[in-house]
Amino acid sequence: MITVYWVYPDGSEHKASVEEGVNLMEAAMANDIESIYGECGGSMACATCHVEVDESCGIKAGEPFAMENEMLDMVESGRTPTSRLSCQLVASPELDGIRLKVAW
Amino acid sequence: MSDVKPSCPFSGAEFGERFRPFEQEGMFEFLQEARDSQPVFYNKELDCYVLTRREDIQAVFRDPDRFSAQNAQAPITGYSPEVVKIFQEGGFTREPTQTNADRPKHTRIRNIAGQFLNQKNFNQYESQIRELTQREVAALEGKNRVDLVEELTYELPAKVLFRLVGVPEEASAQVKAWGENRFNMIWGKPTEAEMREGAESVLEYWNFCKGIVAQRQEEGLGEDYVSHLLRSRNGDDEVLTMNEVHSLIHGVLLAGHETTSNGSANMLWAMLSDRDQWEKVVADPSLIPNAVEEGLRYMTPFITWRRMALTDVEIGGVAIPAGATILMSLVSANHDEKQFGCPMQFDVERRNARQHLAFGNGIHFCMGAPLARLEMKILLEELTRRFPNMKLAADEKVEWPLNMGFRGPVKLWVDLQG
Repeated sequence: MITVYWVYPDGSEHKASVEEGVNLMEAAMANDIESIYGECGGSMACATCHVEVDESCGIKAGEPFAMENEMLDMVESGRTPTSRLSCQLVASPELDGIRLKVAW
Repeated sequence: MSDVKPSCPFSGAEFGERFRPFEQEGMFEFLQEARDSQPVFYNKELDCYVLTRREDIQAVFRDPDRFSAQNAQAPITGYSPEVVKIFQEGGFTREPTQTNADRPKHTRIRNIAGQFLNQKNFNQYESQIRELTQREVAALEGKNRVDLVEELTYELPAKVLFRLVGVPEEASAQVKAWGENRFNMIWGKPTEAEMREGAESVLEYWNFCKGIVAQRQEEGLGEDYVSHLLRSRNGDDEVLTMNEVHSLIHGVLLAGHETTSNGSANMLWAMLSDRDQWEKVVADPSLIPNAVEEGLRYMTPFITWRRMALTDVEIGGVAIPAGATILMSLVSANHDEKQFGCPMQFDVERRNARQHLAFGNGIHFCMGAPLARLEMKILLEELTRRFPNMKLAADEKVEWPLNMGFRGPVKLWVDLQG
């Protein structure tokens, strides 16, 4: 299990334990995180699981994949340098303590 | 997938005899019974296995390796040799590009289409959509008893779409007629005579789409969808062939408005049928985006969608052979008690309304979903603001089309002033 924080625009946060191997879009859905919808089921076709990785927590999620990269250019809330589709982030020890800013 | 064991050893065939896929009456009650007692069953009339639980349907949507989309637009009643001949001789070469295409072709085309059909781009049209909607709503001023379908929800989504695709607004009535015909031929119950006449109409519509593309090539590219496709293609068949461009335009000029027309009318019908819900939205317009989702959930505009099993599978304890048609009841998924408490209650404040499957799920998730949401939101904002006292016309009965896919009221009579 790793710990994941989702941070809302008003600064409030939701903390949850996530089993390793689970993608963070599914984890957000299971935790009722607002504005994460995962409508394409993780196939990088909708961008409704967009998050911004808060690197101030010291954890980086790496670069987006090629197809993900294209989708990120089209997100409604605007892309940032640390934008990712959370369906492409899989819970692993390296991501323990990761903070994901939720856009809306 | 759900592990419910069937109560009948013959794949629920007996139960499936009671399924009336084309009719609205009794639909919700039957589907509720199915979810409870026989969530997967065989229906002889359509020769398909029907799924009614959200969990099973979502799993199929998300498994394109085992479930092909190739049958998604196959005519449910089949075409006679005469109809096939009309298509062949008329040069109807439409090919699968999106909803009924599988990978890798689907991925190649979706990536190109998605560079235009995406939320960010749709948002740039918001002021134009609002202007168009305000114009159409303003035209209702001074009237009282109107059919909202005819006056508003039927043509407005086509006019919006035409702005994006680059088609003159005057063509909307004709394109709507072609669209209805095409949908009736695929998902309805046309007679052979209607089919033959319909095939001629499909040809006219196909040639119209080719004409739109040819005109853009001659007159120069602009900022519209047709131009985007031609620019992406840049003469390279490996990227996109001309037949694919024509097929994409043929697809979007139907899919891009019929669903929104039905979705809008369904939403208004549901909301006006429960006066408290309408008044809640009038009093607090911030509820509108969720009301749109609840409308899509409660009265799903496309009630079923198809997949083909590529391998022998077992769903809900029912064995489904490779090659079989799977009919997913989206409206049933959206009323699944396991996901939505009191599903028959239309509730604009339902917290998880957006978890519906009205736009599908997985790699084929509807590319127009953000546009449909935007249009329905603006429509509801403008209508509640201008006609807060609107009521359903009490003495008119709502009629539904005889169609196993598309479902929206044929007419929606209201009294605008209450």
